[in-house]
Amino acid sequence: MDAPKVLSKILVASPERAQEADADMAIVHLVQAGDVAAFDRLILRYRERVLGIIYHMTSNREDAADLTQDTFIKAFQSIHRFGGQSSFFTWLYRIAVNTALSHLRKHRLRSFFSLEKIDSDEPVSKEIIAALTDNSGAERDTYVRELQEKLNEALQKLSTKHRTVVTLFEIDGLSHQEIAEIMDSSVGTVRSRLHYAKQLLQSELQPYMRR
Amino acid sequence: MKSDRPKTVTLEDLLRLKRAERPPAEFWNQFERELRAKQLAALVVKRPWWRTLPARAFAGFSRYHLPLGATAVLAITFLSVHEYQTLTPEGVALPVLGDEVFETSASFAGSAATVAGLAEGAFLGGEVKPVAVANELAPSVSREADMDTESGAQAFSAMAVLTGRGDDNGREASPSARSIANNFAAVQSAESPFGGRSFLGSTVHGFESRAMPARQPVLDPLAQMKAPSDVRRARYLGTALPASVGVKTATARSSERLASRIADQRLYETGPSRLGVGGDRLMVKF
Repeated sequence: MDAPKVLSKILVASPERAQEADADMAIVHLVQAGDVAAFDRLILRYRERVLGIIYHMTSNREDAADLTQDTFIKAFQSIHRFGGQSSFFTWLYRIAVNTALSHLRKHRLRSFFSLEKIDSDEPVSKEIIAALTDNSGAERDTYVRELQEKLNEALQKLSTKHRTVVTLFEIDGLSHQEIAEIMDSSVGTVRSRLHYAKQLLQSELQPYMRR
Repeated sequence: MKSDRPKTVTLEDLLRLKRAERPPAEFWNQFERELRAKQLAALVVKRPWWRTLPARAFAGFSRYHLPLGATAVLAITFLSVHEYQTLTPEGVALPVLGDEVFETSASFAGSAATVAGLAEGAFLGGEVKPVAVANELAPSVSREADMDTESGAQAFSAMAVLTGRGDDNGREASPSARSIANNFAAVQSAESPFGGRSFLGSTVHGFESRAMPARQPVLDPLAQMKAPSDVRRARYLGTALPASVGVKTATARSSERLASRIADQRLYETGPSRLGVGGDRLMVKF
């Protein structure tokens, strides 16, 4: 394993990710040594993020749950081949994205939403919702539900690659470099796709934006 | 409170709202159970279909292994014996080859008719005609040819009847069957010691007409001539002995030799009683 190279990539991402990567590698070594139960810690650490990526790509929570489970099964079956060339979360995200893209290719014609409820108690979402509507109670919930459907419709109008870039950058907060590693493309391609996807989304969601 | 709201809501704010789409806590319990089940299923390596196909195909035959094996052994044994008897040069294997021998009869009759036709053509016109012409002439062959053909066909038909097999579909006989039939015909015609009866006990017509008649033993003229020494001995004995002595003398001589032989035997049997030892002498009584 080329440790300096991996470390440089991780440092480019962020210091927090570097610490996460070190902890992940320790657990990966345990799993590779035969401690199968150690893999549960990796599942607990990444299941919500992996589910979020897949859910925002598919806009269907049942499919997202199945694909998340498949992602962890694939990771468990292939973890003995993971040599640490990249961080574990990048490797796991790549598996998740490829699984979701494969699913979307197979079920290209099937598209229906099965959305999770927005947690309105979260501070960020609470602030945004409050900025968008003066109403409260049932009307507010209806408005939020409508906005949620419009957001998912707009995302589904994007191509899978543009949707993936938007999901990874805007929702999950990954850097361009990390997205480029996960999608096996260049940083310029990621930037270009992100710019194009934002233009489309702005045109679709213009009525819900306030300037 | 409207003054507390942010002035602008951007696209990034809207997309950030999607982060708040989270499943409830009970979702993770079900997720955990399903993931455990999938992990266990993944631990059991599924064999590819081309490896499980033979086992699936012959799964229903497991209870028939013993009967099928026994049947296969019997079939192989029967075929081996059958082939061995087919390859045996002697025509003794006729009971097994009855079908083939019977099939030979048709071709044998046809060939006989052809030969007869050729012979007829040669006899009538003094010129051998092609086989096709001979076949056309086959219905009007001579009486002998008819007899030969008929007798040959009858003979082979009788053989087929004896073997209990046979059909008249006129299939072409195999070379081995043809050679066996020829050998059988040759043996029947040349060496039949049963005077026109087949060795299986039934009377066969046709072959017996071809069979050579029982010949008298041919005497060599040289063997019929008497040696000069015999002539001289007869002349001397004829002058020395009366003519009546002839056979009687020989009989008397033989009876004497027999009597002396018996006497010797008795001597041997009674030897211990005739021998005696007295003092320093050995006495033999006669």
